Order: sequence, then structure tokens, then C-alpha cells
Amino acid sequence: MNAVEGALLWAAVALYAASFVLALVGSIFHAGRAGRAGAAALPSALALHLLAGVARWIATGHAPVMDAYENSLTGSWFVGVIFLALAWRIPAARAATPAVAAAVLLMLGNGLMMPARLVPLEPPFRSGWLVVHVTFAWLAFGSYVVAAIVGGLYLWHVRRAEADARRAGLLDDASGRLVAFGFAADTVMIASGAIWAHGLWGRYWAWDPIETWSLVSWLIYGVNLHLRFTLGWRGRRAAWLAVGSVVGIVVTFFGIQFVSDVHTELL
Amino acid sequence: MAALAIVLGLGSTGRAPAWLVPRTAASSVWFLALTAYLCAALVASIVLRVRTWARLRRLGHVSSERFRVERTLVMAGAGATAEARLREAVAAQGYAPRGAAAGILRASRGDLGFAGSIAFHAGLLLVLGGVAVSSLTRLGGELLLAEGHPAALEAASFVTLDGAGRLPAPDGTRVGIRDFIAEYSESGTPVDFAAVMTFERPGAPPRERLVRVNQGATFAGLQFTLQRYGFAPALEAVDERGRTRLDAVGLLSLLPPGREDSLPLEGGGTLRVSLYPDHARGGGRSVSRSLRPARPVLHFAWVEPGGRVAAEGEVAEGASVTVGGRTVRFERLAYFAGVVVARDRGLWLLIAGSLFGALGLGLRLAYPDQSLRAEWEPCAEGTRVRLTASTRFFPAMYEQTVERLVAALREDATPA
Repeated sequence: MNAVEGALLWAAVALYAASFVLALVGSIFHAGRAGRAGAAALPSALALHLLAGVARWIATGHAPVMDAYENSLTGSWFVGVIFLALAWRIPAARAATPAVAAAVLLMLGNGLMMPARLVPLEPPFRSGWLVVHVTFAWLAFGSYVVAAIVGGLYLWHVRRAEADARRAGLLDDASGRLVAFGFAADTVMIASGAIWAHGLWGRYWAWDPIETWSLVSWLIYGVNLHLRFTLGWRGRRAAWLAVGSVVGIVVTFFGIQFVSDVHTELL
Repeated sequence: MAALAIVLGLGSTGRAPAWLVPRTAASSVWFLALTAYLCAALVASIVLRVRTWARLRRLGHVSSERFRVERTLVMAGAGATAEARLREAVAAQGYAPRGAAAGILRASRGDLGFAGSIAFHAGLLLVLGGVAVSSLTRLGGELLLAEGHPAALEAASFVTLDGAGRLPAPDGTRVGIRDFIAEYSESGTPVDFAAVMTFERPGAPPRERLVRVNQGATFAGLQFTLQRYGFAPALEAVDERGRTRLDAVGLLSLLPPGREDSLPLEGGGTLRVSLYPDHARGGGRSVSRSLRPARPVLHFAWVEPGGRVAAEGEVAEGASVTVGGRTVRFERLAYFAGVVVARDRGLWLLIAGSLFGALGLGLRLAYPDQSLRAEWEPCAEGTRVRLTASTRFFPAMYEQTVERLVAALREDATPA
């Protein structure tokens, strides 16, 4: 990474850490000012994070979507932005700020352990499908991760004696909506990837590890949606479902860096 | 983490039992049976949804929502005025009236959501249909084409081929490449490669198409896609008795530069070759400064049967070198390209199914089934209205929606 990107990214990391600590202190000690400061630090961190991504984009000449570092950089930003959008619509979800900040920090930490060389776009990525495929991939990933966090917040909230049923209901609905939105984005991601693959490799499906795990994750969330919306699972069961289902998607997006069969390899 | 890597690597690393490898499992009988069962379940699901929806419509119910929200409010004015205002407010929220009765208004929204649900499941059926058509009719294989050496479009020319019987009958058509170019970044990474593909069919004018990564060509209903490339030096090897043991174009690996490949010699033995496309000497040995063929030099080792290295040396493009009586001529350097040839009639079903599915999910998400029943009766303050709103999904959020409806009526109403 270059100096500008590095400075912006480390400033963002510092703000995420501050957001995490302040929001956590606010939640545990019912310190309103600390909680508000933690919530306010998150959008600032995301703004710096975005600028770091733009700096990298300018330096490499392409969107940061190619290797493990760039995917961590972009994916974690989507998680934060989707959470901000949710918190704006449903203020009850703001209590999840420490968990979201922690998730973003973990993802960035994973990326920062990887090589961050500035390299041009490889031949397979030179396609109009890249934008569609990757944007929807990160929308799906971000939605699923935030749905799991909100599910966890629901579980934490309802175990308290003074739990507010209305607030709990909104968290439950928010988690369900995020799963549904993520599933739609996931569908577009898989479909666009398949169509792209046919033009690139002459076949739309090859059962490579990423494809296989994308399908597994999609099926997991398909079952999740049917349990919630067809069989009427709500409350604790649905929240546990949202938390448990995220495993598949984390394996798809991050476990894949541990195998050698690269999804986009050509040469 | 190792366990994770093994699980993730199914299908690629060979560390899992064959029946667990996704590519193998997907073509097994039980997987096909599972797919057939899924198709049957999807058809049943669609039929059941449509029948339930039609039955409820016939009975006058708007839908079978699971959660209810009830509110009572008093509107100023007589019944007719209140009804008109109520209808206006309900319509503004996107509800369509469903049947009329004295003192009762039924309305619902979300028909598009229902249509979306059906479209999504129908889309899945189309996708599965596309997969079935692909597995029955797909043709896919790879041709390795060196510049200036076209190949016949027939099964024997392919290095890999699935569905050989689906290849068009040989009619003398030849395919080739010329004017191959590869572009590299400043750091030497390949960033693009392209070539002109030629198609020559006896009795027809030749056709040419530019092909590059992600941009294939179509000929005779087949898709031709550039997949990989490497160097193709024209080589001649003559032994100490003057016998030509090799006169061919070698297909050599591109990466890393200097990687050793073996070419078989007539009568046994091999010629081991390493190509340095942009040759230089570094640390007493040959290296390549880049992948650009600026100064190609070939390092060779002549290995006789039994493994004895009979001659070893380096030869530049356009030159020949004799070592120990054995001569190696490196006539010229060209490129070769791996071209994937495919025809998949299931693709269009897959695309259509994907479009249906994505559109259907979008509609389902944007327009959830919701219904409303308003009953009113005169009271001392004006008209008492009891709203019963119901939904299948997201009850807490829907409660907020109903409250917005009540707020819209609030100008004329006071909550009771």
C-alpha cells in the first residue's frame, strides 16, 4: 500500500478501535455520552476507510477487489455502511455498534496480515461483470454479517428482565429483512458470476471451492428464509438461525484464502 | 485451520475421498435424484401457493397473514365522510380495495410480492432445467493453437474434450491464431492478452475474429475463448549422425520464466528446454528481465535414453548451436494459446431463470403481503373506526406502518 492509503487506513483503524471501546463502555456502564461518542466515531472511521479505498483505487487503477487484502478492505467497509443504513432506519440497532466495530476491525486485521502490493488488474478481472458480481457479493456478505450481529443483539436484549418487546421485535424484523436482502444480493452475485464464467472459461459452473461454498451458503440462507417466513420462526430461534448461518458465508469469503485453487486463475 | 483448508479444498486438492469431491458428487445418481426431487418440490410449492392464493381470493379473504395489529380511532364527521377519508388514506398507503360491504372496507397490498415469489420459484425451475440441458448437451474442450499452425476442428485436435460426440462432423474446417499480443504492467505482471482467430472452411471465405480474455468469438455455433498462453519456439534438433530427432513447435510454459519443459526426441530421449524471453546474465546464470520476448534465448539439455545428458547449451532466436556433435536450431519464437471451445444450450435457460429469480426476489422483498380491514360505526363524537391490519412478515415494522396510517388520519381523528 502507498503512504496516503496507509495513513488513512490506520487512522480509520484507530477510530474503529475508539468506536468499539467507547460504545462498549456506553453499553456496559450505561454511560450515554461514551455510547454516543462511540456511535459518532463509526461514520468518521468509515469515511476514512472509504478514502483509503479510493487512494488504493487511484494507485492501482482498479477497484480494490482482487486479493485477500483488498477484499478485506472492501468487505469490511460494506459491513460498516450496511450497519449505518440500518441504524439510521432503526435506532434500536445502534446498540450493536461495538460488535460491528469489532467485526470491521477483525476483517481489517485479517487483511492487514496479507500482502498489500499495488498490482494492476489481472486479465480475468477485466470484464464489465466484475462490478456487478463484486458489488452484490459484498452487499450480500455485509447484510448477512450485520443480520447475525443484530440477531446476537436481539438475544442479548431479550435475556434482560426489562427487555422492551417492541424494540426486540424491531431487531428481530431487522435481522430478517437483512437476511432477505442479503439472499437477493447473493442470488444476483451467483447468477452474474455464472454468466461471467461462461464468457471467461467456457462454462458457467466448475465446482471450484468458492463456487461450491457460495452455493452452500446460498442454500443455508434459503433454508433460513423458509424457516423464518414459511414456517414462521421468530424471536430466539430466528436470531440463533441468523447467528449460525453466517458461518457458511465467512468460510466462503475468508476461508478461501487458505486453498490453492484460485477462483479466477487463468495463466 | 488445516481442517478448514482440507474441507475448502474439496474438488481441487485430491485430499478427500472421490465421492466427496463436488465435481464427482454432482454427476452422481443420488445428486441427480436430489435435483429431481427439488424440481418436484418446487412445482408442488408453486401449485400450492397459487391454489391457496386463488382460494382465498374466491372466499373474499385478502390473504393468510400471520400477524395482526389493531387500532381504534374516532374520526370527526358522518360515516360517508369518514369512509371517503379512510379510502383516500388507505389508497395513499398503496392498498387496493377488495370488495365492499356496508361499514366495512377490505384492502390489501403485496400482489406484486406474491407474483415475485412465484417468479423466483419458477426461475429456480428454469435454472435447474438449464443445468439438466447443459449436462445432456454441453460440449467443452481445449485446443492448443500455436501461431501459424492452424488445427482441424475435430476431436483429435483437442487436448481435453467433454462431449466429443456433440462436435460438428469434420468438414475440413481449420482454426488458428495469429498476431498474438500480450501486455504487461510495469512490474511485469500480465494484464491482457489477445489474438486474431482465423476460421477456414473449404468453399467459404475465411473469417477472422479478435479474441481476448472475456471476449470470445463464435463460429459454427461454438464459442471460442482465450484461456491461457505460452511460448511456442520452432525447434530443430539433429544428432551427431545427422539424424533429425526433433522438428517441431514446442509449447512451453509461460510462468515462471526459465521454467523447464521436456520435448520428446524421436528414437527416445528428451530435449529439456528453458526459455528466457528477455535474456540476461545474472549471478553467473541465465535470467529473464521480463516476459516480453525482447531477446529470447533457449537453454537446452539433450538427454539420451537412460538419463545421460549428452549436450547442454544456450541458443538465441534465429541461431543454431552445436555441442558434442548435436545441433539445436532455434528458428523463431511465436506464441501459443489455449482456446476453450464450448457450446452450452442450457446457458440461456440459466440466464432466463436467473433473471426471473432475481426479479422475483426483489419484488418479494419490496412488496410483502399485507391486508387491512376497517370497520366503522357512528358514535357520539363522529365515526368510530376499528382498523385490523395483518401481515405475514416483519410485524414490528408493520406496526410502525399502521401507525403512519393512523397518523395520516389523525388530522380527522383522535385515538380512542
